[in-house]
Amino acid sequence: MKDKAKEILNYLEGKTPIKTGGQKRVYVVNSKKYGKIAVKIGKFDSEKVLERAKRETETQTKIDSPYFAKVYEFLATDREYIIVEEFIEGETLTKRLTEYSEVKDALDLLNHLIEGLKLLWPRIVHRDLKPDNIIIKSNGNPVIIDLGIARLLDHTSLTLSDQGSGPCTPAYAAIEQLTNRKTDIDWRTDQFALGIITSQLLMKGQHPFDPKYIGNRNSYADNIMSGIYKIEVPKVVSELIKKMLGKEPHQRFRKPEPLIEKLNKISEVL
Amino acid sequence: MALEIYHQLGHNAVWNFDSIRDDNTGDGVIISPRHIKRSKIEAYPVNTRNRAIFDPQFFLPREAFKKLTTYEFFPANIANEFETNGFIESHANDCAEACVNFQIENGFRFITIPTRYLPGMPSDFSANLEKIFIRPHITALNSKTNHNQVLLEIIVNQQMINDAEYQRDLLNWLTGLDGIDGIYLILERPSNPKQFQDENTIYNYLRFINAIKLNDMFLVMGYLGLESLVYSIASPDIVTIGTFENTRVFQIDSFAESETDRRGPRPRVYFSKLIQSIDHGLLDAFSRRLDDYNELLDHNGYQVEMFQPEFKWHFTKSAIYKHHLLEFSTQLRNIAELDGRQRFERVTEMINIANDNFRRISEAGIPLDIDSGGNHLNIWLTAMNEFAQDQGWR
Repeated sequence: MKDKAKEILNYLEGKTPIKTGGQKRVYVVNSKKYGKIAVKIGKFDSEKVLERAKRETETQTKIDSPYFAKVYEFLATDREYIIVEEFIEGETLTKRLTEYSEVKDALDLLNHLIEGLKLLWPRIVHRDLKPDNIIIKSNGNPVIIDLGIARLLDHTSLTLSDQGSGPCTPAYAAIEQLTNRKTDIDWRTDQFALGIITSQLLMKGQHPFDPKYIGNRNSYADNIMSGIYKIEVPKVVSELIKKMLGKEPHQRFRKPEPLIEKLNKISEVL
Repeated sequence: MALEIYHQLGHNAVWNFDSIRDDNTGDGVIISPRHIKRSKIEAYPVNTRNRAIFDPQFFLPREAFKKLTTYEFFPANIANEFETNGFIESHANDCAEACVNFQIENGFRFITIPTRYLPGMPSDFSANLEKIFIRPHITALNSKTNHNQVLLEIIVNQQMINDAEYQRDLLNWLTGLDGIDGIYLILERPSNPKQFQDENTIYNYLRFINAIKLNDMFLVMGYLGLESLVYSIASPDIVTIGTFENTRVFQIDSFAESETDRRGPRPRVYFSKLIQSIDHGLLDAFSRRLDDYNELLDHNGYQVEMFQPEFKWHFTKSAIYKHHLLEFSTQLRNIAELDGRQRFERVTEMINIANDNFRRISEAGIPLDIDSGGNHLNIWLTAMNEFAQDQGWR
C-alpha cells in the first residue's frame, strides 16, 4: 500500500492542486480505471489525524448515493494519507447562495440535502455542514462533501472532552459542538447547520447569526451560544427555521420525519 | 388530545377496578408488580390488559420484595446476587428479553422500558440507565417483528429538575434516544406535607413536561396526587390517580421494605371544592360552624355512606377512596378536553373558589394544619402563573 501511495505522490509532484488548505491539497486527475477523480492528500503528524481521515473514507465507502462522492481508495505513507474519490463537477453552494431566495427553491434544496443526509442519520453525524461543503452539480443536484469530521456515534471520540470545542466550523456549529458536549451531538446538530444554510438561502447569503447583521459586538459563536439570531424570511417558513435553529437539541425537530412532513406541508401551500 | 386518567394500582387494586367500572373514573390502569402477582395479571380480561401499562418497578434491582418475587425477569430474581456490572455483563439481555416478552404476550398498551432509582444528581445517570436497561430492552424490541409503542420510564427528582444544566442534559438525552415513543415520567417529591408546596420545583416540572410534549413524545405521568391538576396545563397525555398515598406520591421506601408493620393512615375525606383531603376528625367542627357546609360537600353515594352515624372511620373502608377517585376524576374529566390555556384558566378558577372556601373556614374559627389547609393552593397558582406567562397566556 505504501509503494502505491508513493507512486501516486511521485506522479503528482510538480502538478498544481485545485485546492489547498491547512495540511490538505486536492488534485484532479484523469484515471484510466476510474475516469476523472479527485486525489486528496493530507499530512498527518498524529494517529488521530490519520484515524479521522480513515473514518471519512469508511463512512463514504459505505454509502452508495448520488448525494456523496464515491471513494475508490485510501492509502497512506508514514507522513501523508491519500483519498482517491469521484470528482464532482460543479460549484460550491457558497458561490450560488443568492440563487435560492425563492422559498420553493430553498426548500427544494433543503429537501435534497435531507434526503442525502438521511443515509447518514441517525448513526452518523456530518458535523461540518456549510455552503463550502455542498457542491451544486450542473443539473442542480447537491453533493455533500468533506466527511472528515463526521462521527459515528458508536465510535470512540477523537476529541478530548476537556477541549473548549469539538471539531467544527464555528459559524455553522450548534451549541453542543461549540461547548464540546459530545453526548448531545446527534443528527439534530446537523439540523442546526441546515437551519443556518436555509436561512442564508432565503436571505440572499446573509448569515442569521452575523453580529453585524444583528447589530451586536459578539462573535458568531457567541451569538449561537446565546441563541441570538435574526431572520427575515417569509412567514410560511419562519416557524420551521426557528425550530431548526433551536438553541438546544431538544428544542429542534426530534426526528427527521416530522421535519420532512413540515417541509412537505409548506411546499403544498406554496 | 384529551387528557386520559389512569389508576396507579397498589394495595386493594379491586377498589380501582370497581371504581373504573361503576363510576367511570379511569381509562386504564398502571400495573404494580410489587402488589400484584404475575399469575393474577395474566388472568385479567384481555381488554383490561390492552388498556393497561405495566410498570416493571426495577427501581431497586437488588432485592425483590413481596409479589416482585413472582416475576422471574426481575433483576434480583434473574441474577442470584445482583451486582450492577455483573448484571450488565451476564443478565441484562436475558432480563430485557423476558421483560419485553411478558409485556408483548399480555398485550399491554405500551412496552415500558424500566428504570432504576438513582438519588441526587449522578453524573453517569444516562450512561448508567442506558447500559443496564435501555439498550438491552431496545435490542430485545428490535428483534421483534411487531410490538406496541415504547415508553421509557424515568424518575426525576427535585435536585435534577432545579439544576438548569442537569435539566437541559436530561432533556437533550431523553429526546435524542432512538427507539422510544414516549416517557413514563415519575416526578419525585417529599411526601410530607401531603400536598406539594414548592413553587420552583412545580414550575420547573411544568417546563420539563412542556419540553417533552414539544417533542411530540407521548407522556404518561405516574404517582401523582392532586397536583395533576397543575401539571395538566402542560398537556401530558395520561395523568394518574390512586387510592392509598403511596400511589399518589412516589416513595422509594415502599419498594425497599415490607409495609406490613406500618401504621395505617388516618382517614381523610376529599373535598373537591377545597382541592384538599380533610382529616375526618374535623368534620364535626365543619358541620357545626360552617353555615354553607352542605354546599361544600361532594354529594354522592359514598359520601352518604361515610356520613351515616354507624360508619366506622378506618383506612380500610373503600368508600373513602372511591369517593376520592370519583370526585377528583370528575374534576380531571372536566378539563380533559380543554387545551393548555383553557385548563390553566379553569384550574385557576377552581383554585380561587377553593381559596374562598378556606377563607370562610378560617373565618369560622377552624384552624387547619398544613395537611388539611389550603397553603398549597397559592403555591400552585404561583407556579402556574409563571408557566402561563412563558406561554403567553397572561
